[in-house]
Amino acid sequence: MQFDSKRNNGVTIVSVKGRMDAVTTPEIDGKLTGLIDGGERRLVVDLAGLDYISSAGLRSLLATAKRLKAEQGDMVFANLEGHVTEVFKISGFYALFKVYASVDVALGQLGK
Amino acid sequence: MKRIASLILPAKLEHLPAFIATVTGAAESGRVAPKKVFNVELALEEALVNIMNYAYEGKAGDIEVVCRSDNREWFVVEIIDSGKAFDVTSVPPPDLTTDLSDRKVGGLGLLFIKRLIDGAVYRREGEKNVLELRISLNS
Repeated sequence: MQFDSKRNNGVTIVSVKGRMDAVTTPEIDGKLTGLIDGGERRLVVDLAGLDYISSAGLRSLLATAKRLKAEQGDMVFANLEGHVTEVFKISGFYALFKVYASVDVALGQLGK
Repeated sequence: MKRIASLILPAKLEHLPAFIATVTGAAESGRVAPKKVFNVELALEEALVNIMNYAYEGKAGDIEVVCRSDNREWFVVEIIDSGKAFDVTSVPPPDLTTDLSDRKVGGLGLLFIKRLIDGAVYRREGEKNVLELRISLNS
């Protein structure tokens, strides 16, 4: 698992690579919580290179999004790949979240 | 049906990767299509984590997985625990139509088991829960 974040004009771009399963998600969840605790309110989550996600990963993303919404923030996704795309579909996450083809498109759309 | 692999380990999260490796390896040698191996992996994680979190109610216990294939029609994974009786297949799916504020964070794991596996059958055998995941080799 690899987690990176960088700021771009008031938006935080988070990159998660590898796996978001029951073993790896607590660490990722802690980092997401840390970003919000640090005042970040607008997140683009770049899932390029995320090979696998289970309900543990989805729960963390959902909890993060709920918290951001409560704080008048927003979270969108970019670059979903094969297995992750299918899991988002089955879970109804496409109806809950905005999903974009690239980080650049997401940055252009965030908050509109 | 030929038994390909089996593994018994304590029902602890630290052992999840070992269970996953055993079953995905067996699925590959049991002629499960690569795309379906993903489905097996996800359903397996959800079933195992559920047992690890709830079945033994804080006490120690084991999980056994047994993989079989007939090499023609079916690859079958049995997941066996000795915890409290629980039929994972009886749990209703979560409501996927609510908006973000009302969306519940649980229940998705059980949905994956039902949606990604060709047949999920639960039975209580004496003091054991047995969840049988059946994966078609032809569809």
